[in-house]
Amino acid sequence: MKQSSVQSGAGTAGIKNLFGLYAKECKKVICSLTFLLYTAAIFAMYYTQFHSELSGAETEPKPGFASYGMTEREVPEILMPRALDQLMLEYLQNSYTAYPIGFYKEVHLVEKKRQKMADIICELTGQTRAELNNQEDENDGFEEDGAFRFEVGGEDGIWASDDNSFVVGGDRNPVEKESSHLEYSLSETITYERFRELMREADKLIGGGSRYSDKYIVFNFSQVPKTYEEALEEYRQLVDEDKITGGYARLYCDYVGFMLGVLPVFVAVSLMQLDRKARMEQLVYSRRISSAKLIFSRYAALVTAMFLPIIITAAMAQAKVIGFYPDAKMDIFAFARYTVLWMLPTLMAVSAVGMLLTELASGLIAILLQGAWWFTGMFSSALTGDIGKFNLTIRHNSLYKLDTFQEQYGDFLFNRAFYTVLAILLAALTAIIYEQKRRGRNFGLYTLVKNHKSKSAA
Amino acid sequence: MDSTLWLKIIKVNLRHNFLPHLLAALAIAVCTPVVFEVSSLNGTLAAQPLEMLLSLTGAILLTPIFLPEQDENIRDLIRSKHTNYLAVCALRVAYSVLLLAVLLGGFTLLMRACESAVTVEHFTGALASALFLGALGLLGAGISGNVTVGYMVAMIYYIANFTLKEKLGNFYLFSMSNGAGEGKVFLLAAALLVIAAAFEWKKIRES
Amino acid sequence: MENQNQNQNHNQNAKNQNAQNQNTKNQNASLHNHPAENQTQKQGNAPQAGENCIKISSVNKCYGKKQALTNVSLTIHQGMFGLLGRNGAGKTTLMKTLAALHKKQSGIITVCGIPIEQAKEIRSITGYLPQDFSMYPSMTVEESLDYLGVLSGMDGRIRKERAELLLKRVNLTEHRRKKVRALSGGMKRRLGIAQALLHDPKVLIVDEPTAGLDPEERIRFRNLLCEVAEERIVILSTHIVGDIEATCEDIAIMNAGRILWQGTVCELLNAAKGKVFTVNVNKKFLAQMKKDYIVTGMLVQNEYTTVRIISEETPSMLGAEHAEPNVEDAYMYCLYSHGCELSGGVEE
Repeated sequence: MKQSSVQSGAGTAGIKNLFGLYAKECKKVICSLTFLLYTAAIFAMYYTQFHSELSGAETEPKPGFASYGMTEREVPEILMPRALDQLMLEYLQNSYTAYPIGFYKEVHLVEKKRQKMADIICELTGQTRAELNNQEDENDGFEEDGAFRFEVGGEDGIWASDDNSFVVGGDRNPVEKESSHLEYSLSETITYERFRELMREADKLIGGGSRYSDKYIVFNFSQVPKTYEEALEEYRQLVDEDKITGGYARLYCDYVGFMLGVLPVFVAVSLMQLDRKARMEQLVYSRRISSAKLIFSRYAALVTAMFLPIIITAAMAQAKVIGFYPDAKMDIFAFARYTVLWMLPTLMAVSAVGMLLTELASGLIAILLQGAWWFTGMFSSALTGDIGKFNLTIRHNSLYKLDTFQEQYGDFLFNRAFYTVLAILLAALTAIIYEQKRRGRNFGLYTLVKNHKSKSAA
Repeated sequence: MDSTLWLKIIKVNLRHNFLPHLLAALAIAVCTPVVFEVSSLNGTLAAQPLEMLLSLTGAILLTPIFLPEQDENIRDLIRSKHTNYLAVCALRVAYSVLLLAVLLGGFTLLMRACESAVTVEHFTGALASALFLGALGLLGAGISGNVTVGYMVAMIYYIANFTLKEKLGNFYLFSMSNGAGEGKVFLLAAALLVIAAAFEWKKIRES
Repeated sequence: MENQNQNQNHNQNAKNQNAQNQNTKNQNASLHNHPAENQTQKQGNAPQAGENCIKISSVNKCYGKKQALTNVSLTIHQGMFGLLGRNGAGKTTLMKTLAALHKKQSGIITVCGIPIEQAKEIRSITGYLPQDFSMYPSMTVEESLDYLGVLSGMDGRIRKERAELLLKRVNLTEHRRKKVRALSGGMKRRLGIAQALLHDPKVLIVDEPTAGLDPEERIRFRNLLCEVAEERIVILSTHIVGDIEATCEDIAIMNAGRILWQGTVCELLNAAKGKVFTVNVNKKFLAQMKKDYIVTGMLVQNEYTTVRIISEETPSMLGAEHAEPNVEDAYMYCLYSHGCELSGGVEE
């Protein structure tokens, strides 16, 4: 046999070869136990959160109902006094509630920061420092344990939110002005813009994630009853603008994205560890294939294989939604569009992190770091309207609120593009590191530490 | 075999097989006060850091019990020795549980010092949750012979606690954070059962 | 109940260990003393005195549907015993069963009088070196020996003495502080043999010990095994016939889970006498030769090739000459005469 027929070079044979490798890597991924668990988890998530929780079509609101629920609406006249009351109370107790990473945190300010907070309050109320200090003295001993705390098991929090979501944080019922003996009111000269600016400063002093942050302020202090018109408008938006499937697709992505922020790392780690476990490393190292081709075949296999259960559950979700609204006009591409735009970048990023850290350090470290990223990211963003430019997992835990989503659509696209590019860069970095290891260079945190140790010992 | 030999086995295992996992668990403990408030909390809130974050240390410490002998050749070699292999693994479980208890106990005491309303139930409840999560990881790793699978099983169950909540009944890990916590005895018993099942599986599998 | 018994055993073992300590103090860590022998005698498993052999009768073992051992019966005496066979013949299964790592489905095995079911006792008199020896990679040579010694229930001082002695014996003294992951293949094997001998076992089970060693290492390793076989049973499995030739007196040949043949090397050679021929053939007939005969060797010359073949009868071609069989020929003849399928001299 001639050499050329044994080892295919560039051209069509090379591409065929590469595709063959990709198919083999896909098979490796799909046959792995971690992939099986991943698939089971995605299906379980779909069934328990989406499939079984949606019982039927949303109905058009009828006029004349006593209540249509609450809504967040930025009404300065409502928001400003409520927020001020809360801030005053927290200031007087020097105890501020915050949810920096989604979990309850009580912040006590040091004297210097407390003075700065006093300045903010003075500007908000138009009081002098002396007047504020007076109030402080009157208020001495005012301490109502737990009055302002976010109580678990109440209306809010992760345990009993009405839409069966798993939100942490948020305090929907701001405390009414209990300290009625205090005398202050909102300064008449202050504009809403300035007010929000000061609130932002206050949030900064508290360390972020407070009730006064941009993220929580409307949610906390401007909940108002929904009117019939608003309820109708919301419904019409779902039917007319979102063509029904749009809203459901976002909800689907919200649920499944929760899993997708961490589970792919396990599948990636086990694929990357396979060679080492089977003592195949050296064998693979010695082959002709370039590191880039090998790593990207594996990466592509990971991403496509793990995208399969997403496609299947999304199709099932779409079928279910179509069943709810048999006669409605729907956007049949909404699920496809959202899963690709929304889910794929998350999947790509988490897989790439798993591959990179396994090559660089170890599987355990990859799992730990991705777990930490998921944990902090997952609970720090609000349920809706908090897409942000750099949140790995995007939340939109609502069928409605299309306008909130659209407002941040620019951020959404930026965010997803950013993670797609980042993921490809991380995969490329993995290929570089793989190549270095292949050339016998010690590359890996462990070996770096070991080398350092042995050098210092010598 | 006398006790000095067992001590030696513990010492070697702590140093060569346990240290990185202990460090990872400590890292979680150190990060907990960054994520959660730990001072001046009422009983329900005080359960949050213990149940929702520190319970993960159970998965980190217990899942890799069989890891050092994941390679079949090493396992055969160790099994060919006079000392029962599963006894060595049981010893690892024992010191892992002990260190887990010390870690959780220490954290509970720290919270107490910070004037949070923690009780002995907080400690035992958190320990039960951590053990159950760890036991699931151990069983997953034991059956599959792959520690990554073990971590994954524990992680999926942990996530399920955020999504299914009370639907998990007595198996709900965050019950104290939800104001309940009666099911913890059940959870503890289940944890011990799952660990026993993992060992039984190994025993049957290896013979 | 069982636990109690175990505890008693533990205590007993500990006591014996102490007794052994006393012994070794006197003997200055001699390579040959058998703690387990004392143990088992005291525990009433009473092997008859001098019963220094392994008896295997009618042993069967399956992995699911696949029968790995079929009706295996063997008696193995002191000295070197070679287990020969193709890859997948069941050698490793048999050895793991002897080391109490696998359970058999049926049949009886006793090792120095101890039934194989008493895994604990078996393990304390057995040293095992798996085919692909490896150890926790983060440990040093010294640390891993020490740890394995602990697992064998050895006391600290004896562990140290024995480890030192054995490291010297296997030429690893200067590498004692090297990490296991940094050892070469040969060094790893030597560490393997050292750990298997650490607790001075009565039986040493070595699976494919020379695979992957260079010729020098291989010879040194064989010699080491021969030395230690002077006072114990050493079972060696291999598919490298040369190893057997150089070391073993008694051998057994396995195929497809059965014992095909058992006897001495001489007997094996005798059986093949008159069945081995050499013949010079033109290159173009080589393919035909391979089809018709079992070819065990070829020497390519300028115009023709000298071929070594096995045949029941003298080949009809010109110039065929009788040749003295070597162990390799004899092994091939044995497989051939027992009806094993061999593909024209390119078996394996």
